This record gives sequence, structure tokens and C-alpha cells, in this order.
Amino acid sequence: MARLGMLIDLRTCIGCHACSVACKVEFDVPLGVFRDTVKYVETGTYPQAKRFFLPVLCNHCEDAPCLKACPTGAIVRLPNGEVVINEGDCNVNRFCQAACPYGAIYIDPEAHVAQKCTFCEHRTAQGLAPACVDACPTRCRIFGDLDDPAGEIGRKVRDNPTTVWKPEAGTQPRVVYIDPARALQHLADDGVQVDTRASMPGEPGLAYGQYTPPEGLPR
Amino acid sequence: MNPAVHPLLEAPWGAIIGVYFMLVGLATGVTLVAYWVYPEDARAQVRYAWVTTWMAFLSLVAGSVLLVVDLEQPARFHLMVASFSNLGSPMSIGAKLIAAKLFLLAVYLYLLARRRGAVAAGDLSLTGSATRALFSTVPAALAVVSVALAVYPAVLLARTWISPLAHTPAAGVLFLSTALLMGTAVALMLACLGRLRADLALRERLRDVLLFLVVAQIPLLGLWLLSVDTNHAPLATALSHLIHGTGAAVFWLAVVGVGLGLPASLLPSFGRSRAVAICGALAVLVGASITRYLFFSLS
Repeated sequence: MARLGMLIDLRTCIGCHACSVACKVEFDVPLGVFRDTVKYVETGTYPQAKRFFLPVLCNHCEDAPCLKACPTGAIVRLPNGEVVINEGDCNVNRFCQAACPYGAIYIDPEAHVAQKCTFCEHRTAQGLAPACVDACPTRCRIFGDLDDPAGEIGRKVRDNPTTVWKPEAGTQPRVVYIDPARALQHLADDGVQVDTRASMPGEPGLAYGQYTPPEGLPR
Repeated sequence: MNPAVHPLLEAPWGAIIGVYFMLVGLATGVTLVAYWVYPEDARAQVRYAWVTTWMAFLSLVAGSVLLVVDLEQPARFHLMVASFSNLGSPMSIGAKLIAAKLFLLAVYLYLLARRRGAVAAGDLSLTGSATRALFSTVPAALAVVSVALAVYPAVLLARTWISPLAHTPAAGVLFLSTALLMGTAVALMLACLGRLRADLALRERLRDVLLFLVVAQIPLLGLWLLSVDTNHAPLATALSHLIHGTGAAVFWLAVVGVGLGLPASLLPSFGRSRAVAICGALAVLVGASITRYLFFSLS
């Protein structure tokens, strides 16, 4: 069985929110809540200011706190690893929200149930990519089997240093990032925000301001 | 950035759940103290068991009503009780503990109602082996369930990011000790009222137990402080809020001053005065309740 996951290359995300919009359309997500959004952090001062875009969504953790917290068993893991909410079993106790360190779960104000990213399970079951992946103009999102070394995501994970959001939470996310500027660790959590206090030295040898984007992308 | 920034702008749980944790503490503490401290006289025993069991029952019913209000529909609470698909969830276990305790309390109240009738008719002995067995097993089962129910909020909150103060090894002990403080305080107040007030020995024993718990709470708080991992950013931030931040005034004034200092000075010197005993017990009740609320809400 495939171990589905997503790789997000922060070097190529331009913060266009096409992923957020595609997700909103796909699931008719109400105003004010998100299954998938793009946060950002800023660093430096004019004329050296720089902004980094950070797409965030449910991490479909291997050790999912929401799944262990849910008292009614409404949150389940599918055989392919996707963590989904069976809405009929949700009693809106919000323990999953309190347990998730990523703030990835919201209460739908219209349906009155907990909801979150499903990795577009209805699409992936038909062999399609999630809506956010299809919508990304820079192809910064790659979806697939993390255990397939020949697949695109497997190759990219093998060829690049990757990281996850909040590794200290010990949740083993299936959403991994290529983040040479180490912007993820400076991401404040409460909504889309700017953090001008962040200091991002980047990888050794890539001091701030000297980072070179991948070939073909604007600096 | 602030390392303790929350994943969500608003905590998923509000004041209703904080009050619910206070009521659960009261319901469990009353049961536990009534199991261990009771009058010598058989008639007074029944009277005392009757009022303390009703107090535990009403507190737990009130807590359950708050849960239903928070969930918005009774069926949602029932789903949590009836679903056995995730017994690894502290909330699932908590709901079942509440249901079990409510059932046992109802059974015990029924037994006590019959016993009150028998005592009123002059029958002071427990006749029948089945009756004797029920009168020994039901209170024991209630005590066991109550210990679990007193500690479960700490286990529940330790799984969340909203209550970092519960992320310590000693948090469960504090939830148990605050439940005992609340229960003993209420039992002492009940022993000062109605026909129970004639039993001076009971009042003095409850006062002694309360004093012991109040004094014991001081090293327990100290040990809890020692168990705080200051490298855990959210916990360190919450602790600084508790000691000298947004929660400091409430903590030092209500928890330490009113909840511990006032009863520790009042109860030993004026222990025979019912008014002073009630004031001291009320102070303990306020302090212990607020301790539980602070552990829930401070972050």
C-alpha cells in the first residue's frame, strides 16, 4: 500500500494562494476558515527586506494527535495513510482542535462538524492529484507515494534535504518541506501573519541575502 | 517570535469547560472524603451519606449539563458515552467515567433512601447479606471511579496545547489534591448545617483532614514547580504568567492567600466555631476551584 504524502518546495512558492482558492472551491470551504492556506514570514529591513511563503495544511501525521484525541472515533486513518474525519461520527467536542499542534482543524460554521484537509481523498482514490497540487503554478507541491523511490516525490526527497513543521511535536508529518532558508521554524502560528523579528540565517554557506533560488526562478 | 504562540487564534474550549473541571473536582472530592471520613453514629452516618451523595450527584449533573451546553446537543454527549471505538482518548474515558459515576450515585441514593426509611422505623442494622454487600461495594466502586475522574482532567489537558500547565508529571497529583480539598471543604460545610451540626466529632475530624490537606498542598505545589521543564517553551511561558504575569494576582491572592493562607490561620485557632469553619472551608473551596481553572486556562 502506498504511503501518500506531500512535498512542498518553499524555494518555488510565490504565495499566489492558488492552492488555497482551489481547496476552497473543491470543498466549498466557508469564509474565515481554511483547509489549506499560505502563511508568510518577513525578515530584514528595507532595502533588504524579504518575504517567505509557507503553504500549510493538515500534515496527515503518522502519529496523529487528533486521531488519538477523538473520543468518538470520528477521525480515522485510511489504508493509504490519509487521516480523514467521518463527519457523521463527529460530536463537535473540539478535542482534535486542542490536540493538533498545527491548527489544521476547524469547525465548519455551516455544517457544524470538524473538518480539515483530506489530501483530496475523493480525487486521489481516482488517481488524480489533490486540487491544491493541480492548481499550483510553480509546481512547488508534489504529491505521491513517499515510499516509492522512483516516483517524483521520492526522488526529490532523496535528492534534497527536507524538514517538517514543528518536528519537536513528534507527530511525524507526511507533509515535508524543502526549506533551505529555514523559514518554517520562524512561522508564528496564529493565522496569516508577518514576523519581522525572525532571523533566518539559511543553510551554512547561504547567509541571508546570498541565497540563490533554483535555476529559472527570479531571485 | 513567541515560541508559545497558539496554533489557533481562539482556544477551542472556553470558560464553560473550565467550570466543568471545577464541578468534576467537587463531585469526586465529596465522594472520596465521605468514603473515608464519616460519623460514628449509625443514624448520622446515613444522614451524612445522604447529603454528601446528593452533593456529588448534583455537582456531576451540573457538570454534565455544562458539557451538553458546550456540545449544544444532548445526543452529542450520548455519542461520546456510547462510542467505544477509541478507548485511547482521555475524553472518551472521561465520558464513560461520568456515566458510571452517575449510575453508581443513583444506585447509592436509592439504597440510602431505603436505609433512611428503615432507620426512621428504628431498624439500625443492615439486614440481609445482599444489602450488606451492596452497602460495601457501591461506595467502594464510587471511590475508585472518583479517583480516576479526579485525575482525568490532567490527562486530558496534557494532550492539548491549550493548557501547558498540565504538561507536568505532577499535574495529576494536583488535580487529585484540589478535588480532595474541594470535597472536604464542602463536607465540612455540610457538617456545620442542619441536623449534622450536632455532631461535633465529625466536624472536628473533617476540620483536621482539611487542615492536613491545606498544609500538604504547599509542598505539592512546590514539587509541581520543580517538575516544570523550563526548556518547554509553552510551559515556561504559562508558568511565568502564573507566577508574575497575567495570572499572578489571582494565583497569589486567591489560590495562595485565600485558598491556603486564610484557612491555615483560621481553622486551627477557631475550629469549634461553625461560622469560622464555614468561612475557612469556603476559602479552601474558592482557592482549590481557582487552581483547577488556572491549570485549564493559563497559557
